[in-house]
Amino acid sequence: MSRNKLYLIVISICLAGYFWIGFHYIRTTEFNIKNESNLEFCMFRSITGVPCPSCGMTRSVTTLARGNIANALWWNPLGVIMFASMVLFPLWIIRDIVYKKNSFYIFYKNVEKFFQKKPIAIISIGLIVLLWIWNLKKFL
Amino acid sequence: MEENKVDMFIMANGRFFESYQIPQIRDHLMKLDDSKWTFVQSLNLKNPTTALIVSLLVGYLGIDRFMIGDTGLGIAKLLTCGGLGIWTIVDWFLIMGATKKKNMEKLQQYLF
Repeated sequence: MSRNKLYLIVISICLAGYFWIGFHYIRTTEFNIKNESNLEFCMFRSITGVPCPSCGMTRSVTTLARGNIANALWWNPLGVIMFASMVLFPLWIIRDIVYKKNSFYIFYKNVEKFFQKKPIAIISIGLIVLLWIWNLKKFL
Repeated sequence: MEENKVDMFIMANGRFFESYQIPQIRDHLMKLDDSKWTFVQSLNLKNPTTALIVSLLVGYLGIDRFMIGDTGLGIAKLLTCGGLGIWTIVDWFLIMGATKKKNMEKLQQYLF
């Protein structure tokens, strides 16, 4: 994948994410975080009836946007990573475009290489499975 | 490299690449040194049809992207619930082309 294509993909995912999170941020309150519309949208849940490993991501990010880190971690710990990347990556890409560098592209390649190492891949898959079991137990 | 060896490789692995790339691959393999034959044969090429089946079944979790080696996009797909299901459906149509492109990238390391 070329640098420009990667930047375009990341920017479009982030923009879609801002609309999605913004919509849910307006629709929900801190005490009534359950929004019926986001459950209908989930394909995995409507087919299988059980939550997937990244279930609760929207609720986690909206809770974090209100400043409640503990609740955000309870909804889904990956939401914190998501929130950080949604804030950081667009700024990083804009900086790269302005200064005509490719530091984000190099970072992306390094992350790919990191997760392709066998021990790290096995540990991450194990963590995702644990998260899934936790999600099934909470039944988000 | 000998012609029959190249033809054997094309016969066995032709369906892993785009059809318009086959003549180009053939030309480059003919020019290739014989010592690299073992490397070319031991390439871990992915089958586009398998990728499509994986994408149809568990594409929602980004496993198809992890399989073909697009780890970064796989993580993005996993964390966004398959791009809210939209990316999953788009990938049903893109994944075969993406697999063939990845296979070509792997082969290019030895050809050029």
